[in-house]
This record gives sequence, structure tokens and C-alpha cells, in this order.
Amino acid sequence: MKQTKHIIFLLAFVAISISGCKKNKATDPTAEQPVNPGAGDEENITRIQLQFIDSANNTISKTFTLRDTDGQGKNPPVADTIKLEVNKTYFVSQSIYDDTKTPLSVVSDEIRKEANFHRFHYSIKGSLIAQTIITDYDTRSPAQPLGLEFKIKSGNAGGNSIFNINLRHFSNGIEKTANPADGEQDILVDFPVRVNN
Amino acid sequence: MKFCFLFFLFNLILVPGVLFAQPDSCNAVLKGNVLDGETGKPFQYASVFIKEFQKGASTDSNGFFQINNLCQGKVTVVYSALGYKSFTTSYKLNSDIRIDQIILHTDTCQLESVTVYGKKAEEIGSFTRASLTGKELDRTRGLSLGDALKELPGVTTLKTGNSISKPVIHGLHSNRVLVLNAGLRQEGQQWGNEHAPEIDPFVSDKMTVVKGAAGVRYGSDAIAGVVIVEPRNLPLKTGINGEMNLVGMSNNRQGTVSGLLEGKFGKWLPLMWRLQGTMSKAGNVKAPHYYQANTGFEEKNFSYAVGYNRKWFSGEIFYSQFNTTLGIFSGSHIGSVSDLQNAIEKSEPAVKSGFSYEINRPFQHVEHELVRAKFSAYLAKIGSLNLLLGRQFNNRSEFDVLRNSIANESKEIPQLQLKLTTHSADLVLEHKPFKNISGSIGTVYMQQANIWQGRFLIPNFKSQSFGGFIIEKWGLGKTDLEAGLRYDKKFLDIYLNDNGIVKLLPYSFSNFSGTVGAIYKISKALNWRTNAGTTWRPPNVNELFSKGLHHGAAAIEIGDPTLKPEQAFKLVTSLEAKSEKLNLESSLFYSQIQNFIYLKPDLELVQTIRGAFPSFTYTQIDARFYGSDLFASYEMSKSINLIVKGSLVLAENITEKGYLINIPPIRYSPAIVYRPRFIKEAYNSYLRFTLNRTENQWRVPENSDYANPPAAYTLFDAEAGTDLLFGKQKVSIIFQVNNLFDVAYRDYMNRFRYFTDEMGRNFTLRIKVPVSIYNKN
Repeated sequence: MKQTKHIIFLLAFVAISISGCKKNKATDPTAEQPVNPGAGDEENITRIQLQFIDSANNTISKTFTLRDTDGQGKNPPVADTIKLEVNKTYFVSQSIYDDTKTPLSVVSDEIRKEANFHRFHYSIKGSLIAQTIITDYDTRSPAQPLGLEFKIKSGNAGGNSIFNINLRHFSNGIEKTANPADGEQDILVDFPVRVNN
Repeated sequence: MKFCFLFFLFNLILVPGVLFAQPDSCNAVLKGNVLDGETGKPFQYASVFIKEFQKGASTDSNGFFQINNLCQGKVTVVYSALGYKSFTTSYKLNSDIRIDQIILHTDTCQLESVTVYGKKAEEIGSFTRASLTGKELDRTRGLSLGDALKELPGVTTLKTGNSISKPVIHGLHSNRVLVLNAGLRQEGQQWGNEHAPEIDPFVSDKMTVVKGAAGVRYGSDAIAGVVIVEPRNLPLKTGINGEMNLVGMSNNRQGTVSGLLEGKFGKWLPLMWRLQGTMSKAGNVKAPHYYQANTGFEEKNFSYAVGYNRKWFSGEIFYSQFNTTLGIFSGSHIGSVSDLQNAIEKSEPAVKSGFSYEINRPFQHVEHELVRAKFSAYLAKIGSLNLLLGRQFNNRSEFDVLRNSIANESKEIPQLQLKLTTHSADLVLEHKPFKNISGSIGTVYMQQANIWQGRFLIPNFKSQSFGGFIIEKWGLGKTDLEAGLRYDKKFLDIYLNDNGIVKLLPYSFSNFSGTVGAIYKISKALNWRTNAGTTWRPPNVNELFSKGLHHGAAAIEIGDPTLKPEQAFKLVTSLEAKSEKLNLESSLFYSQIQNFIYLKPDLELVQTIRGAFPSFTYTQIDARFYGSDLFASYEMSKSINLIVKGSLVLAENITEKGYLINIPPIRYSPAIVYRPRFIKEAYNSYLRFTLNRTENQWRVPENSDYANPPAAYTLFDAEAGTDLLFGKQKVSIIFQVNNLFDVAYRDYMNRFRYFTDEMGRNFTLRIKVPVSIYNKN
């Protein structure tokens, strides 16, 4: 009798032990994985497109693209050379994409929505671009420049220049400023520039 | 630097110096067996203690004990076990004595609650160990596992901010330190520097660090050592008892509550049980001049255990769940190297903050679930057969700061999720001593599956490993010799997604581990342990396949699919002196690791649209680690005690003839403890002052870090503790002030050293209340 009791307890004990194991968690490593390693990264950017409109005749004149298809891979971004005419003013509109996402992720739309937390800075190494002026603003008061839309004034022909785009992101309670070193860096790329007669 | 060499020399001279000392001529042996008066069966874990020599042993599963190297003369022997009446008798020792059938009876008038029933014999005695238990453990309550173990000589931490800390043994961590949680290898994503062990220290009443290449018993990866966190033993005596712990800290306004309730049903239901839970919440940490934004954490853990104990069989189920949400310091989130350099140049973080409990992005949420079933059968002729079954599920979610502020507000969707499921089974036979040879033989099996979601860090994988080991110990009077051998084989199937096509990449690794060791009892007060071990470690999945940007480190880490396993050799020799006044443990270690895997900085920056990032590739070299640990406690008078602890680690890259990065600098801490003997009401009262000195780490490889290692620093801690009695109710109180002078400092072993100072002054109050609800008389 005593033995039977102990066997019952033993069985009950084993039952408790088995009930401790939860199952049905999705843990099959052979199952399908996210499409592309870069795709899962919400911060990924693969393409920047600059659309230049000649201010004199308002027709679409040129589009220049920078691509980095492998994202954080070892292959560096490849940029078109921005070819401009001498002493002209262009309206430039910038579009930014992540092509690894389906549907296509338009990062520039995201940035426009969050204008209050972003600021582009443009700089030129060389003399081919005489001036850049940001023409779009955020919704603060007073409004601060954003930089998805801007004007470029080309200089005289000759030599090579580098056009640098630097996007700063202000989050975590960091106040948006006009200092190109403040905030976090979201984008930092170079386009080569050439000006022809 | 002078100190470093003095320290090293001290050990160098001391260890051999004692070896050549003449041992006295004490070689009598006392042996016998102990029976349980209740069942009449052999008594396991009973303690046998010789008063004159302050020397003891505990009985094995067959009730046998043996105490060697006794001097001739009269000895008083105390046989005891918790929950049983102790039995004292004396013998005249002329030569070896054998005492048969000492019977221990249950204690019927026991006052204090009993939570622990004896100590399990060490599986490999020649390893140098250090344990945190009793009052020393109470002093660390409310700290994470890593921070608590930092109290032990030779152990430091690798931190990421204030909330993530990993134990470092002799300069090594992560996959080179095995954490044994309730007898199972803790399987989380422990390869990550910012992945802390998912363990609630309140589960345990003893945490042990084994310093040595302990692969033979615990499997591959135990290159530097093993951290053993064993849940408390279940009570053997009928009744219901408990314990309540409360911890409050001023700096980050942390509050921790941990409680446990345990008992044993009566004869009608022969089950023992325990319920345990811990809740913790902390807010932003305050460095002396500013708050660190987003550095709070929240933890909710619980565990339960049920045990069944008969004379021929015992079984125990242990279940635990660990859940933590921890904020990552906002100031550490940077977009590029130039951001990092800006942050380093600023003396204060750009992100300003006040105090808050709120946790925002970036943060981590980690869940760890562990179930263990342990069954032991005592077979009269053979020994005890132990089966350990385990299942662990680790679910890690990392929430990044997003470019999209609206999505950033949401705390729902993680950018990275890793789910790791582990099943394991160990079968170990502790065989009956054959003449004076005792030991164990066992087989182990483990199976794992990992899946990821979100941004890529490591691929999906499945793995299976098999192993078998044998460890034997020869007792030769003054000397015990040990040897062990193990073979492991691991199959690793990687499922790598290459542009939409999942490729299966099979790997297999196998190797032997071995150990030889000796324990030499030089005299009744001196013990010398030496262990030489080899162990290995297959490359981890992140080292093979990692590919991507690590925020906070602003670095791209690239794996190498052709890496070979690491092969390590480690020698640890230590001397323990225990006399009435002096308690000294001094050890030296030397370790050489072939194919040591480390992140080597690539010279070229990786250009991306988001900026240029330095890249690091996992590379193999040969490395050497050596150094020394010291613990000394000296009783100056009845009320004044001096304690000194120190750790020295030197590491070298043999292949490239240089140093290694992230090696802890020299640390030492002298302390003075004062115990007023005249206050009878508040027994166990003490005052303690500690100085913690950490030297500057100048032994770093050139051009491999963004900033120079931080300067040396000195901190002062003050502490007072007492046990109070309210009627029959005992209450233990410890009050601590860390960083008494609010010193602003940075620590080389904190990965956020670039961004912020460490925690400023912190007051901590710890209250422990044992609860006795019902005890059968």
C-alpha cells in the first residue's frame, strides 16, 4: 500500500515536470527567413536621387543618382557626376529610397513628415558650385530650414569639385540646431561635380 | 605599475616558498560512515568536523567520510547535519581509525528555519574557486549577477552602461566563460558584449566561480572558467518557511523586492517545494554632474521547485523565468564615427535628462525560461546515477532608435529579435569509491535552434552536440590526484539567406578536453592546489557569419566562415592558508589560447550612404594570458579585521606581438572591518570601509580604439550592517554608501566609457527578513 502511494506521487511528480515545458513557439530555423539581410534594417538607404531643374526655363533638365545596393556591405556607394552648365541657378529636389523594402521605402517622404527633427547641410569642396540655399522649412516657429528642396548656383567651368550632403537627425530630446556637427548622422555622401561651358 | 610587479613577485615568491616548507608528521586517517536515524539508510552530506584541527569532511552518497593527515592525539569529532541533532564524541588517534555507523537523529527542538542541507562535494577539487555566500552574498543583493561576482578576486565585469554587466574571469568573458544555471549551461545569446546573463541572483544562496579550464566537466567554452549559480536546496524538514529581501538604492532610485516561500509537506505527501519571485525597477543613473538619459530597467523574475526525496531515489523540478527590459543610454546612440568623436570630445553627453523611470528607445527586452528536471538514483553496489534534463528558451528583442519619430514612439516592434531554444540531457554516474579512487563518468547531449527576425545579425542555425567524460580522483594521504578526459562533437547547420535563397552550410567540430590536478595538504593550515587543463571552443555563429553595423559601437563587424576552433591551455596554482588569524588565498595563472578569435580592426573605412564606418573582421591569433589573484583577511584583534583583494591580468597577442584590447586593468581593494563586541542585542554588527583602486590600462594595442583608456581612479565605500532581533523575529540590515566622495570617473571595462562618467554616490539599504510560518515539532 505504502509503495503504491509513493508510485502515485512519483507519477504526479513526473507529470508536473512535463507540464513545465511550454511548446508551440515558432522555433524552426529551416523556416523562411526575412528576404534580404539588409531588408530588416529600417535605417537602410540604398539610393539618393537629385533632380535638377533649370530655373530659367523650368523644365526637368537632369537627374543624378547615388547607389549603394549592398547597404553596409564592403562595396562603396557609386555616384553619378553632377554635370552643370556655367553660372546657372537650379532648383534641386532630393529623393531618398531604400530599394530593399517591398513596397519601396521612400525615406525622403519620411524625412519630410519629420521635418522638425531633421536638417540637411550642403558643402562644396572646390569652386564649381558658388552657392546653395535651402528653400523648404519645418513647421517650427520660427521655422528652420529642412533641405530636401534647395537652390544651387553653379560657378565657372574648370577642375573638379565634390558636393557633400550631410543629414543630421535630432531625437532623444536633442534640440534641433543649425550646427552641422549636432545631432546624429543619418546621411553623409559625396557627389563629384563638373561644370561645362 | 610598480604595484603590478610587486604583486606578481609576491605570489611568485610565496607559492614556491611554501612548497619547500617542511610539512609536519601528521598522517593519521579517520574514516567511517553515518546513518540516518529516521530511515536507517546511509546519510549523505552529513558533516564530520574535528575541533582540534578545524578540519572536516562531508559524507558521500553511501554515508562514508574520510579525513586525512591528522596528527596523533585526542580528537573531538562533531557529526552534524541541518535538521538533525549534532553528535559529539572523542577518539584517541594513534594511527588510522575507522568508525562504523554513527547515527544522526532528527532535531525536534529546532529554532531557526532551515533552508540549506549541506554541501555537495566538489567535482574537481584541484580547481581554484571562489564563492559568494552568506553575508558576502547578502552585501550584493539587488545587483546583477555580473556586478555581484565582481566581489570575488580574479573576477571583473564588462559593462555596457550601467544596466548590462557580464562577468569576466581572468580577462575573458562571453563565450569563454561558461555560466551554469541550475546545472544547465546557460544558453542565451551570450556571445554579445551587451548581452548580460539572464539570471536572477536571488534564486541562489551560493554563487561560485571556478577559475580554470574546466571543459572536462562542463563542456567546451569553459576556457577561462565557470560561473556556477545553483538554486537553494529544498528543505528536508516538514514545515513552511520563507525569506523576504528588500533593496533600495538612492542614485537610480532602484527598488527591489524578492521573496521566497518553501516547505515540505508532512508524511502524507512526501514533496518539498519552493516559490520564489523578484521584482526590480530602476530609473536614470546619476553620474556626479548629470543624469544618464534612458538608463532605467525593469525586471520581473520568478521560479518554482518541487522535490521528491526517498532513500533510493530523489527528483527535483526547477522552473525559472527571467524577464528584463533595460534602457540603453541615449547618449551612446550615434550615427557615425564623427558623431562618436564629437561625443568623446565633449565632457558631457549631448542628451540632457533629469530623473525618470521611463524607458525609451534604444532598449532591450529579454526573456529567459529554464526548466530543469534532476533525478538521482542511489544504487547500492554502483553509486549514484544522476539524470539532468533541461530546456531553455531565450527570446531577445532589441528596439533601436528609428529615423521615423512616429515609429520611434512605439515600443511594440523590435528591430532585432533572436529566439534560441535549447534542449539538453546529462547522465552522470558518481561511482562508489573503489579503494581510494572516486570519480564520475558521464555523457551529455545538447540540441539548439536559433531564429532571427528584423535586422540581420546572425543567421538561423540548428546544432547538436554529444560528449562523454570521465573524472577520477586518487586519495593518497596528504595528496589527492585528479585526472579527467572528455570528448565532444558538435554539428552546426547554418541556414544562411543569400539574396532570398536559403543555403544550408553544415559545420562539424570535435575535440578532446583534459585535466590533471593535485591538492597537496602541506599542513593543517596550508593547502596547495594546482590544475592544468585543456579545453576548446568551436567558433560561434556570430564569429562565423556576423555582418552588419553595430550602433553604439559605430562599427561594422564581419564574420569569417573559415574560422577554426580555439584551443586553450590553462594552468592555475593556488595556495590557501587558514589559521586562526589569517585567511589567505593566493593564485597564479597562465593560459595560452591557440586560434584565439578576436575582432581585428580593418584599415579601410566602409563607405555607406549613412557615412563611413570602421570595419572589424573576426581573426585568429595566438594569445597568452597570465596574472595573479589575491585574497587575504587578517584579524588584527577580536574586533578589527583587515581584508585585501587584488587581481592582475596581463594579456598578449603572440602572433602580432602586441597587447589585446578590453583587458581589465589592475585592481585592488583593501578594506577594514570593525565589529563592536560589546553590543549584545545587535549581534553580527559591523562597520566596513573599503578603498577600491583601479589602475590605468596602458597595455593596449595601438590604433585600435577611439579614445585612450580612462585614467586610474580611487573610490571609497562605507558600510554598516547588523542583525536585529524583534522578539523572535530576526532582521538583517545592511547600509552601504558606494562612491562616498561622488568621484567622476570612467572605467575601461565599460563600453560606454566614451560617452559618460560612471554612477556617482549611491546609498543602498538592504533588509532581509527570514520568515517562519510553520514548523513541525
